[in-house]
Amino acid sequence: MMHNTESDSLAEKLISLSEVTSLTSVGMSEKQLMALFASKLHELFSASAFALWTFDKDKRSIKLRYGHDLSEPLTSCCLAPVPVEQFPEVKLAIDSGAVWTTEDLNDAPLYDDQITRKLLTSMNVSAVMGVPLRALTNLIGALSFYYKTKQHFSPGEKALALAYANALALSLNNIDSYDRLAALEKTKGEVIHIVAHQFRTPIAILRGNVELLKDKKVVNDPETYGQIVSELEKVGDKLRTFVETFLNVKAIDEGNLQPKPKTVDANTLIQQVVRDMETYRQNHNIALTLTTLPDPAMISVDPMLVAEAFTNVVNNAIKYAKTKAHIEMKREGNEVVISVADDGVGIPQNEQQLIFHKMYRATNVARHPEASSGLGLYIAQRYINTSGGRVWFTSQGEGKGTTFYIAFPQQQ
Amino acid sequence: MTSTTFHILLVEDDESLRHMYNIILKKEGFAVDFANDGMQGLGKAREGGYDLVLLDLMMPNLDGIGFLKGLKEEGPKKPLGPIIILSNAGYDTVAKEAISLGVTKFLMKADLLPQDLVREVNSYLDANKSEVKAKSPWKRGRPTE
Repeated sequence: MMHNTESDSLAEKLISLSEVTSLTSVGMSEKQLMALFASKLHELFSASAFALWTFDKDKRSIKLRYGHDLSEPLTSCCLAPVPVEQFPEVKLAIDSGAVWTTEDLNDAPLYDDQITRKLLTSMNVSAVMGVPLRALTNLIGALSFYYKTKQHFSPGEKALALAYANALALSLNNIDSYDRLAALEKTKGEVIHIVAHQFRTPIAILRGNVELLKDKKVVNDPETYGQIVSELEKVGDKLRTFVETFLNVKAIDEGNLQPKPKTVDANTLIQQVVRDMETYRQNHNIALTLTTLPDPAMISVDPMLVAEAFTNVVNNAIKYAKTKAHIEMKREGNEVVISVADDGVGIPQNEQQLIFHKMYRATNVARHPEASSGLGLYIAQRYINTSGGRVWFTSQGEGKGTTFYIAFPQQQ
Repeated sequence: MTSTTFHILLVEDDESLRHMYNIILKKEGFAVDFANDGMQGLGKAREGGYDLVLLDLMMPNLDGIGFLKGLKEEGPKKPLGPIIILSNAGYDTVAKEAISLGVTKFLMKADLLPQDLVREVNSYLDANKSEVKAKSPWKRGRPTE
């Protein structure tokens, strides 16, 4: 049983904690939030310092996400991931899902780990409390409270610590969600900007040519008239392709892509793609060569999706090549591998990991005149993966060309 | 139109737009010369002798800004008329840079109907008439700042 005075004091502290949570707001930065919670640390717990630990990616290590009044050595040691075993109060709180204090260790040394012991000694720590940090149902890490004089902890104090940790975790979660939404909103804005920009040139061509068709002089001149009609057809095709591309991305993002696999000859598929791109190749004045396999290379893929993926990769090769591009088919192990090499601008080393990202355009082609959504390779990769294939590339860097590889398991 | 035939240099990489602007300008009696990219355009502009240059911004080999910087470095041999940018790049920093590099006007392609283009072109040519070449903002060798 709690004594009345202790119970009164706890009730007051709970009120104080609720005041803290009522002050949190959407759009608050993490730093502001942590400062707000830290401001009540001494009043609520008489703790001298505290640390907020979150899991590293592998969940076996922890990182110091925030520290309040920690010693400098402790702060600087734990910004990089450290093994969770190094901080037993964190490990025990995480493993048990309950509040854990040094008292529970029955006078065993505070820390086995020499380094940690040294770090904690530098803060004159007499006792430590570890509290699991749970946002909704997810365990995201733990809090450590460090005390200089305290030795004993009542169940009420532990319960208060848990309530404090839960409130903090929930607020952190809200901040993260808000940041994610803000980032999504920013991406959405960028997408709208890119889409709008992509439509401007076709719109200019469409409006201008339609206007020209109102002129009798133009209509009565068969050559000019034919040229305008042909331009209008081309622009119609271009607009259709844009819209298709964006709808395809939407289908990919929503998981609505349903491939219809068929066993087809990869030779035939790639030959068709090359044939379809002949006009585009001529316009770019690029020499494109193709080496197919001498016998059928059967792969089980959705031919529509894979043809589009090939088209996007070959289109890039032609678009960015200086003078030539070469497509070669090979058998490697049980795979059919298609390589598409160009002698073009290459991909800067530091951007290579971003190349399959949605809406990404490498900086060295960002000012390339040809309209590009930055979606071609994103779509190609998704279509190839959906059909059980792989796509990767090699580029020695800027100005040194790029080779894309597409591989599918060969069917017997 | 005056009896003088005005010569316009159109620096534009998009084939469809080139065709369209060509039809529009020729219909009005202008003599149109083309360049498919900034590099080719700069070569022609440095020769000079054009009453007006219509310049795209985003082009291969050398973009519009590169073209303008190139022309600042080495001006035209013969007088060269004003430069009008035709772009869809928007009135952003690139547009400001273009203006600072001596461009006379910035026009948005998507907003421009044939009659608008003709009106804009005429407004520059009519205003200057035969004085265009004499008033060329691009001095030989190094142009004025």
